[in-house]
Amino acid sequence: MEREKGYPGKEIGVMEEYLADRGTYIDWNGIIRSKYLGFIFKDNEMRKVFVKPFRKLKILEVGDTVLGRIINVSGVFGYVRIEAVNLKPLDRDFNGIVYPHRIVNRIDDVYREGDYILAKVISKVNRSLHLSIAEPDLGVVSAKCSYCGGRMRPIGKNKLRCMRCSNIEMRKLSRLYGRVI
Amino acid sequence: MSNKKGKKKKESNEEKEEEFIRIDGRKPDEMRPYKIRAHILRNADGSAEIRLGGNWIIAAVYGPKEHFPKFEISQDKAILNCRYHMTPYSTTERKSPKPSRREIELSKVIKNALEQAVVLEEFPEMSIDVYMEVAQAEGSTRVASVTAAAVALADAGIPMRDLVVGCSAGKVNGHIILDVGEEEDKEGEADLPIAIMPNLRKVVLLQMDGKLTHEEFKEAFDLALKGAMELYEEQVRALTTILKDMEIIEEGVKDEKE
Repeated sequence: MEREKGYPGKEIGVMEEYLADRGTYIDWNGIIRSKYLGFIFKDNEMRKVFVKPFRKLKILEVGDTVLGRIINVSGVFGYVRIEAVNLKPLDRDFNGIVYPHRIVNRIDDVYREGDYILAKVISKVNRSLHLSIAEPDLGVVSAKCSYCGGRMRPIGKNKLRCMRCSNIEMRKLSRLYGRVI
Repeated sequence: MSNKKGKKKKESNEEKEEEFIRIDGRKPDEMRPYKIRAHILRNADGSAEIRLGGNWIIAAVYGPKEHFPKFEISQDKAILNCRYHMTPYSTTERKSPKPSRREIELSKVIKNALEQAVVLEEFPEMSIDVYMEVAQAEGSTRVASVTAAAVALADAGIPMRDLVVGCSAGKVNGHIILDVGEEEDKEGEADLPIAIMPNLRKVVLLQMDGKLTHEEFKEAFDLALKGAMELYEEQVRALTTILKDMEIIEEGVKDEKE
């Protein structure tokens, strides 16, 4: 594969010559042009051309794992302020919503306000990022006792006990509880 | 072109009929010295700097990011926020830092120019911020700002259909000139800033101040186009130099892996 430098608007070829893959577009004259600053790759076997951008945008994609804090719970929905993506801290605000992955009697048994959760982005429709906690590694990774604010230690499946006042609470726990944050 | 030839003939006939030399010693179709650098700021997502004669403009880009307040977002494309601002120390007399009428207008004009190039449809419900700070002003800052902003956008990794590049032409003492300076802007008869997308051959910004006849307008427009293409080459050079640095880093990583 050949590689050359590309910048926005650079002419790569005509549409009869190559298949315009990601990072390129076809203008009204039928000319394939680059959309990004990056490197142009021409695949002469598949007759395909694409541009690899050299600077990555800081936006969330479906499939990313995020770490966030639940700032509000209304109904069954939890509103999450995302603080890290793929365990790398973010420098800007992103908000998402999370909901239980199965029917529950009490939402307090899944997550509460102030919990840190590990979740996966499953969809980006309707003005918000939809997060899911339906995997063993996903769920609450840090929680505080709702009576005294003390640290909670996991005892058994989805159960936590406060280390100060021995209050027992339920959460959808991640397997990584206490190891992430 | 025909005019020039005519002038040359006259010169040879009448033995040095004074060739028009501008107030700063330039020829009518000569640009000021220019230099563009990309990626000069560490904290912004993308940035660029342009020096065009005495002009010094810094452009920075943030985004795409979640837009706030939420009721302003558009469902099908991103919002492009542009801010053209002159620093208090950019002119010989202190300028109030408050956005003036002129700055608000230029922000809007520049926004309209850049919106043609950026592929906003890829980021629905998000916004992209472009900040242009004029650190030193010496005429034709709006076209220089557009030029720097386009480089900053490309540096931020935002998809664009084409780069945007601007240049100005004008008329002083009956002569059509390229790249209007500050004194020429104040005392000249006309000023014509344009911005184009050079590969797609589209005009995205066209303003005129003063009076030009139809023929003069054509001549000035062609001259400004020529200047813009000259600046475009500098833009491409600035962008490909940062790519070169990246290439070395990438190859270094590859070697380590192997």
